[in-house]
Amino acid sequence: MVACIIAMVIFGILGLFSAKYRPFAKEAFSCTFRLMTLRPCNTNLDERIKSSITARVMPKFPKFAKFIFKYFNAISAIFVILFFVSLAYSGYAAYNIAVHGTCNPEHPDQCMLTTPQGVCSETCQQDCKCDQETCNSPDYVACGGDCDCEQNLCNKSASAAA
Amino acid sequence: MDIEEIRADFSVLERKINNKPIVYFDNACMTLKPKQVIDAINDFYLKSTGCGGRSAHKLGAEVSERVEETRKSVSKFINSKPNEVIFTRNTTESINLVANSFNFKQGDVILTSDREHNSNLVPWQVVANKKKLTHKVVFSNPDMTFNLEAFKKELNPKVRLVSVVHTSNLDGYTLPVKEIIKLAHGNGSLVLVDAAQSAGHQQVDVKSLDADFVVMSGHKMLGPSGTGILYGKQKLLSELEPFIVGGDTVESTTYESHKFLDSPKKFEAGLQDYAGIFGLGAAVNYLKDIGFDAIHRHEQKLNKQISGFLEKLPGCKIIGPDVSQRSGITSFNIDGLKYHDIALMLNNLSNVMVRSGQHCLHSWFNAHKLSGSVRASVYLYNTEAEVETFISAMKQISMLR
Repeated sequence: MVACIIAMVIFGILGLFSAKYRPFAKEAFSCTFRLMTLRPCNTNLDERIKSSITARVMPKFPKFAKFIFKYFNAISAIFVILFFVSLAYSGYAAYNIAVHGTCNPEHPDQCMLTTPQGVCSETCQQDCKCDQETCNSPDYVACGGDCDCEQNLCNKSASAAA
Repeated sequence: MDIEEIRADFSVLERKINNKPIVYFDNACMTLKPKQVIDAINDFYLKSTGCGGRSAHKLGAEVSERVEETRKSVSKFINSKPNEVIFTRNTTESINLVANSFNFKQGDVILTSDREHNSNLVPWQVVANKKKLTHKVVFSNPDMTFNLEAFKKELNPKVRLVSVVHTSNLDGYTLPVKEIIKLAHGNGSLVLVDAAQSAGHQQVDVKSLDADFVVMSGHKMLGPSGTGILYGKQKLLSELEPFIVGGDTVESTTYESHKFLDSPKKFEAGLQDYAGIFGLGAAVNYLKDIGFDAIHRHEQKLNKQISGFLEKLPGCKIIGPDVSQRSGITSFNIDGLKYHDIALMLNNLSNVMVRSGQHCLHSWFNAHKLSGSVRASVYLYNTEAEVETFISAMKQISMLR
């Protein structure tokens, strides 16, 4: 039954781009809602997902298929837990960005969303190539390798300088 | 019987899903339709659309004529008189018609077997409650065959009607209906035979059976869905009060009264499903051309192949008696696997389409403390190669235990 929660998220996202997945998303939502309100899920969506995955795996990896089939609920539960844990971490990171300007206030350099951009050590000249030679190594890394020349400055160094 | 020639008439069988052909083993629920049936349905809409039994113009007359032709075809099919054939929507409606039209008296007893489809159980339960009747069940022998001794014991002057299934949709077992009817008639009781699973698979000869009422569905014998047949002995039909009344059931009305037409017209209220009736006629003719002996032999051969494999499959339990006593239906369970999972896996692995669940036999499953079963049912267009596909998929599925 817990597979419905993951299915709701996956089909919900897929449903944004393709109408094909919307009925599944709706079905998964209905199942999740019933689950949340302590009622048994009245759809066999999880069974259909289980058999569909098992049938795909079975011809090539029968033992793995058996493992999936046998422990589908446990695997689903692990995915649900992982989903909620990563959701919690994402929420915490978003909070830190909003409050502290970085997702990791203790080690700001470890936050890949807000790593300080650094400045190229030398201003690029006309037709220069903002590569590892012109932007010295740490700054090139800080630029994330995105060192197109624009206004004689590396893009990111320019924005960082600004 | 040339299977390939027959298969060519069923366009659905040409369909592929995920580049694999479909294997349709859900015939106990609904059979596929040959092109002759589809052509007959189309004929009505493309060439002969009109109001039968009412309008005198050419199209109307043509429809009336073809409906009566179909009635004759159906009557020959079951060996009755044409005016003993009533067109209904399905078996369920036919049984409800009898249940609600029959002149029951308080205290009457209705007997059914323990393996009745909900359609041959609920109408009797409802009418028993309404009219203060008693509904009794005759339980099967331990080997799942009909218990004639138990049936004899239940017979008494109060038993007014016996309503039994001919071939069970649970396991394909055919009840000894002829003996049941003989015993019931000896007791002064009438008998309704639910032939939904037998008509189209074996000869249902109402005269030879001496059944009082026989009911069947078109969709289980190559015909269109929404078509059914109620056969009743002429004398009995004339005594029945119509259940659904209105247009085309009456000879005349005044503001205060009405006079019903004779049977079968008085039971066929409102505009009928003419296209469906045409299709049903085509289905009946198609089956007659092939012949029931050939169909029955073919089903038995395929079921022996299926049951022979399942009997040896570890953990597999087949419901019902030995395969020699069953038609083309096999219900089974595998220890450690859910019936829905087996059905879904068959579908996902090899496009093998079977039914899973309680097959509208909740009463039997509840009594036997089973939550359901997988049911594979074959018909005239299925092949040994398809059975091999089923077997191969089942071998893989059984490894999931």
